[in-house]
Amino acid sequence: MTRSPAPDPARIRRGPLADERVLDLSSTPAAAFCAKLLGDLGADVVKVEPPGDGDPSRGRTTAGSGEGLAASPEFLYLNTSKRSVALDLDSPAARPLLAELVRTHDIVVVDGPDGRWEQHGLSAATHAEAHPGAIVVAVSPFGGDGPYRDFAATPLIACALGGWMHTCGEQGREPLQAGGDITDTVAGAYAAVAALAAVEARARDGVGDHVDVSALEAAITCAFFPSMLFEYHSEGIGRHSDYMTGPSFHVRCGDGWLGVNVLTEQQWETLCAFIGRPDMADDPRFATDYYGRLAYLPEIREAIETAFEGRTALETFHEAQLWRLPFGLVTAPRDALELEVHAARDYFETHDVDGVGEVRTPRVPFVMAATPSRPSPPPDLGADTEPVLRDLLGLTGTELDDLRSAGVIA
Amino acid sequence: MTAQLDLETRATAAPTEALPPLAGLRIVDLTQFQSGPMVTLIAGDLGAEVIKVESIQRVDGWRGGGRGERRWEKSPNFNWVNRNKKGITLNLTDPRGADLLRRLVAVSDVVVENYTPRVMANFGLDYERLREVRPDLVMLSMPGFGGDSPWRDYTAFAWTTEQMSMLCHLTGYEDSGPLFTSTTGGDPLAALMGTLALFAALNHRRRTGEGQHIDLSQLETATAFAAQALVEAQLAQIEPTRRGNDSPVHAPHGAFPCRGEDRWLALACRSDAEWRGLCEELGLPADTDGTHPMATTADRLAAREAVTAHVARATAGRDADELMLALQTRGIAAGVVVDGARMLADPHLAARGFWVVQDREGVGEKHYPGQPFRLRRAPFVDPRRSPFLGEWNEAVLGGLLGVPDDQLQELAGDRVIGTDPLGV
Repeated sequence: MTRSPAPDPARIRRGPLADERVLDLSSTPAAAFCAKLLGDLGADVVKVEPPGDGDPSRGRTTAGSGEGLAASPEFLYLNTSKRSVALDLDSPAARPLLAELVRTHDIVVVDGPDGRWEQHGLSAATHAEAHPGAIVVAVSPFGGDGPYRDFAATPLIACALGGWMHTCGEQGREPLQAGGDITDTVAGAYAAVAALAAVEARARDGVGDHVDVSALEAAITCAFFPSMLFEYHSEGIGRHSDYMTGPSFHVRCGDGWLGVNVLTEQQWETLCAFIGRPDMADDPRFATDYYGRLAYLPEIREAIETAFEGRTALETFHEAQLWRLPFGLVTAPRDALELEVHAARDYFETHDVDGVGEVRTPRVPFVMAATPSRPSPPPDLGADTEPVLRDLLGLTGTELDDLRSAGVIA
Repeated sequence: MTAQLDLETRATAAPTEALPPLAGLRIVDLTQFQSGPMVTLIAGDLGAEVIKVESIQRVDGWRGGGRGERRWEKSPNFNWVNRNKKGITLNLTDPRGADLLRRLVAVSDVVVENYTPRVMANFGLDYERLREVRPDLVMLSMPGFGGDSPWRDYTAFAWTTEQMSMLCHLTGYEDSGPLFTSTTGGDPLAALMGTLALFAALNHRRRTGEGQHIDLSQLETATAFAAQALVEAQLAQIEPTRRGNDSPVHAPHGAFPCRGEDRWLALACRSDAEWRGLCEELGLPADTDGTHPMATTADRLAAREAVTAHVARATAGRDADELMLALQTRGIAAGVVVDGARMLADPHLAARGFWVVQDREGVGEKHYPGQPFRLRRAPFVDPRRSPFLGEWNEAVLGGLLGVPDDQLQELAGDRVIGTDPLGV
């Protein structure tokens, strides 16, 4: 399905994790993101998928709008920098192969406490005995124990129980999930971080570990404030994410939405000067703080909308930034793809995807001076079955042919 | 499930003398607010020695959230994210302060900072100069838009990066403008990717002896968490946008009112079987509401609003927690929309030992979020409460760097160090 554009030798770099081998046995977005991040940093990631339809995310080709797509955005984003092995784990003939794959990888990513790999005849305890250096990373909605362990979840549920939802939305309306299924990627990033911590401990002690990652708890660490406010002051927070303290809010301009943001008192004074209303900085009603001014939000909003009338979001953003005001552009995806700063920092890698054409995905979101890396394209299903089983597991051509005829590999 | 149980048994039986993963690592932390401090929170919980540098001229901005006497010591945000750190003060605009910082870096492994790029250069403390005193230094810089960037001097905080990462565009009602997620936006997202970069750099340094500078962009880190939408925008005719609580493939999917004021249950019905189970639990007909057919997912997606109303009428009299348990027993994804009080009282989080309980003078015993992961073998450190301003000056400057007492007194007299903020 996919292949790289003509290779540019200057771009073939190894990345900081070039010596790590990762086996991705997962089929959830959070776990897939974990393995993808390790791969984007240079680890050799082998993803095991069922022959036939492959990873379930390959089939998720419905856009948010309901439109059918030529490929799955989820699969393409969450599976860069991986090799694909198509192996039918339900077949008894696959068990020794899976055991060998597990034995030859340092980090094994699985998706949670539902026993996916126990059902394939692989006891984690047996595995730990056979390969004490292994690091097993289990990414699950609620973690490996506790009363919700086997509860079902989606990003909507993580937003609800994780504290993102109650304060998201407008006063008097229903609470909202955050966009972008972000609790999945947050859990996946934590899993990658925890995996690397376990790698450091193993380098010192020579012993692996089992990493238990809870997506619920990951979500909470990003939405800690309501619980902290209640813990300290027994106070709740209203639902008003159309504005935040400062005040900070969004203003409609001709070419899109502008984010008007204020954090410090100095920025408030600068904002008043920036919109030609230094009198507002002296107005005793506004001289409270970033909470107190929220009582006057309609009046402040009107003054700002008047000042920005007829101006574009883009020019106002740049001008405000020259005044050291932390304004933002409210980007839609197509705006984000075109931000000049992304082009200047070479943030996107272009992959040529069969049946789709060129697709851009971001590199890791930082530049490492000594160990730069670029993502490789998401793999075609089973593209690496033969090389992995032959080179890593030492299978012969005849053995591969037999397994293929039996439908165990593809 | 058996696999999990096996592993727990093994972990319990194994000797527990293991040290935390990052024991022995020393980090100089020049960051404030959340994005940087959350990097060193994770590293500190994992055993790194974190020396947090503030100044009495400019304390960490997150100390601003406290109330009452000495309120800078009573900020819930600050007190959460700075546990397991040794806090010192150094006025880096004074040459003696900058010199002490260089001496500190010389005996440390890592520097983390989240200023705009001009600030560290103005202090004379940019990577090129710090590596002169510590050649294998790993330095993580976390400005809003990257250091090597046409927007390097632009300013960003949590909501700037949330707006520019598509998250606000993707969050909202179908009929509303873009909304904030109501969290601290891009800050924790920068922290997670910053930690990932730091740990990857430590991996490389361990194998090669080579340190390096990491140029992180908080715009890029926030974008990475929602970048599936970037791919969708390239494949689709229709640009991805806000859709309330709707799912393109599941219905019902959203928040449903329950008994009490502003009580809601989120629920995602992922199959026709789950739909039938939901209707059975709620005592509703599953085939139709009397007007719209609802037996199949296609039916329900076509009549989303009617389905939502049909279900909402039945949930309104139910207790959200009881209904969550009843539906989860039937395998249906359901979760209470928790506020701060309900989150703190959650039985699952309590059973998992998620909260870190710490006593602090002037504040009392409080619960703070722990880490969302556990290593079964290598432990976290025993938690130590966040530092008072300048609390570790003597231990770090005197003890670690060997600055004599009379010099410390002189530095305090000249306000290079201290324990009380100026002009709060």
